[in-house]
Amino acid sequence: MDAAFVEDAERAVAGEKEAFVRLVMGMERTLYRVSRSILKSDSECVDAVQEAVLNAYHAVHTLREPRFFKTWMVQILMNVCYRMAREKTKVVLLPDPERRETERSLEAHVELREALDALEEDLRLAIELHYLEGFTVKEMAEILQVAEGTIKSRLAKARTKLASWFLSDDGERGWVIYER
Amino acid sequence: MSDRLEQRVDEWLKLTAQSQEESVPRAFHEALVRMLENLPERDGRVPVKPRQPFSRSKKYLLAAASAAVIVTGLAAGTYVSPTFAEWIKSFFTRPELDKGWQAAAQQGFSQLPQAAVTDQGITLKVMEVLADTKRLIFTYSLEKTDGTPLDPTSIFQKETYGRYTDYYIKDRNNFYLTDEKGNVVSESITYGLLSGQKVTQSFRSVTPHDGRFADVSFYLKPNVAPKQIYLNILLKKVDGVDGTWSLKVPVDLEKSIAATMTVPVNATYTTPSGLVIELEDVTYSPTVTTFRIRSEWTGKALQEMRANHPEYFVDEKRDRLIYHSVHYDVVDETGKVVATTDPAAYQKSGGELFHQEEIDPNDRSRGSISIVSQSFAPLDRNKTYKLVLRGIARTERPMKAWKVNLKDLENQQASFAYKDFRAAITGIRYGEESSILEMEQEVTTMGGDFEVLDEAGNVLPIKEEESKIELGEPESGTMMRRIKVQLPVEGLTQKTQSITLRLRTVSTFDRNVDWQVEIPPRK
Repeated sequence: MDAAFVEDAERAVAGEKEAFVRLVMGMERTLYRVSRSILKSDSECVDAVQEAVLNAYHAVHTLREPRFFKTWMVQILMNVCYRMAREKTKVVLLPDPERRETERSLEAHVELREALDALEEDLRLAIELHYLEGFTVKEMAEILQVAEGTIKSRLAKARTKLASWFLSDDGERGWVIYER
Repeated sequence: MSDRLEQRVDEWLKLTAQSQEESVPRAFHEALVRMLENLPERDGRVPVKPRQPFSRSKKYLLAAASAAVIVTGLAAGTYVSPTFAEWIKSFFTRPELDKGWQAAAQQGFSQLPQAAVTDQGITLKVMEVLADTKRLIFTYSLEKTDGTPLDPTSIFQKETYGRYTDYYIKDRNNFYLTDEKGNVVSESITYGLLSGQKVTQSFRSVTPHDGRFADVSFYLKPNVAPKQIYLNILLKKVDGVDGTWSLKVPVDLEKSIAATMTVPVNATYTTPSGLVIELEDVTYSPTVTTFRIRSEWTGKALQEMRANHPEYFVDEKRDRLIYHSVHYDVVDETGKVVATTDPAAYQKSGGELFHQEEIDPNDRSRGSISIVSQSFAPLDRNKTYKLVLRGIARTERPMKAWKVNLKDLENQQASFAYKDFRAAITGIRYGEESSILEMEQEVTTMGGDFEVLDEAGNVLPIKEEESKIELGEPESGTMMRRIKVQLPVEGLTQKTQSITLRLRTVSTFDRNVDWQVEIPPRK
């Protein structure tokens, strides 16, 4: 783990606001990706992250192991996201123009994002945390409060589903698929 | 769902995650920055030691964060990440590789060993392998444990000729192929480098790509077809770091062996000069189509050669006089050349008409018989082609001599000719004990071999290790090329009045042939 990150985490736990800000800014993409893997629009993600960061800021002094700041922060964010998702289930969501613009500007990532969106939430989250955020299976088990075997199973299932998703559209995409 | 495809997904996800710096939506970023700016100061702040050299203000920090996001956003816009489709298809379908690799990869003959070894914080990964009984290619990468890619070609020494770069082993790093019993099955070649160093290595080519991968290819020894071979890699120094990176990667050949078929042809032709040529068979393999050609001088032709040059037939099995090579084109039904032994044509084709030759290992025990297997980009198994003979390249021993008065060279260059061979002395750079004879030659294939004699008829030694040769590009269709030669001749000084040049051996190309034979499609 990056020594500067640990030092900032220790400072944040000790009450230094600037250190906390640096940590959160350093996790900006993680916060977006995690929230976006649960919530359906960018505006919801903004709300969720703001709430989670505020909660974390007020509770950071309770963090016993500063080096687990990132895992802890993600846990808080996920709790907020799940709660918001539950509250929103009865609301009909309209297409989000913000999101379309984002996708257009991120052509390189659109395909991955589309593929992930086709997955169930728990599988999508497993891929996001493992591949995009670099969490280990053990860390993910802590964050998601499930057994490591469950995480491995979800990752395998997600990869299989992704492959199926890609294959289902291969004529249009012109892929060359080799089966052995 | 195959494990292979799931592996592909896994690799693609890792690559995509590494290579893409996805920026967040601007609205999200601005909202987060605003929120952080407005965080309340906390009561009961615990004093901590000042962080050195950090002294940035909150505004500076957030401004820097904004700038970072913008830069990242720009980077994300310009970086072209591989799509899953690009990733899932083989490394070996890339257009810069020859058509044989591409065709075999498109048919699914590549394997994904996913072999890796880490030492000294550096990981060697073998990503993909493709092989048949003729040759093998693999892709590898080198990276630090944090994922930072290293230049995969840093483990080689390099020599660049114009736009071409050749790679040679260094630092005791080595690559080779073995069978199940540990016998080496990759063909080795010894190269003389510009530095004067000689290196022997198994691999034939190194092709870097995407800045983080490189392909290494091998030719297998003829008549070796185990069901499984092993790719052996032993690196002793990577990126200036001593260590040991050793991998032995099994490569299954059963699938490619099953897809290989040999079709007998057995068509024969005798040239007016007395060479009997037989196209024995054609083998269709995943990466190449191979023509097996047997040729032998008739008894009459051999008798004539013996009568003219008995001194060179002391050991017939070793004599270069009977060496020759058969040159031909392969044309399709429209007359288009789809394969050729003409080096100019296949060099210019950019891999389309590549040519690989294997000399039968038993060749030397057969005296005047030559059996070669020549491989080209895979031909369509369902089409009919024709082999069109173009001529015979051979070595002759004319032993012709020309006397040169060195003073005359000040006014005009001295020229010599034998059949298609042309040579001229263009200058002499005198030294105290030896001088450099500068020559230009127009030659067939590799040219001629001169002796230099002084006025008394003594052969003056040539310092072979200091001689230099510049090879021009071969001309398409004629087998001719221009070369420049610098010969350091001992005993040749400004006191020397005249020399005699004796042409001992010379390559010639006999175009007096007329033969076409149909190549049957695979049944």
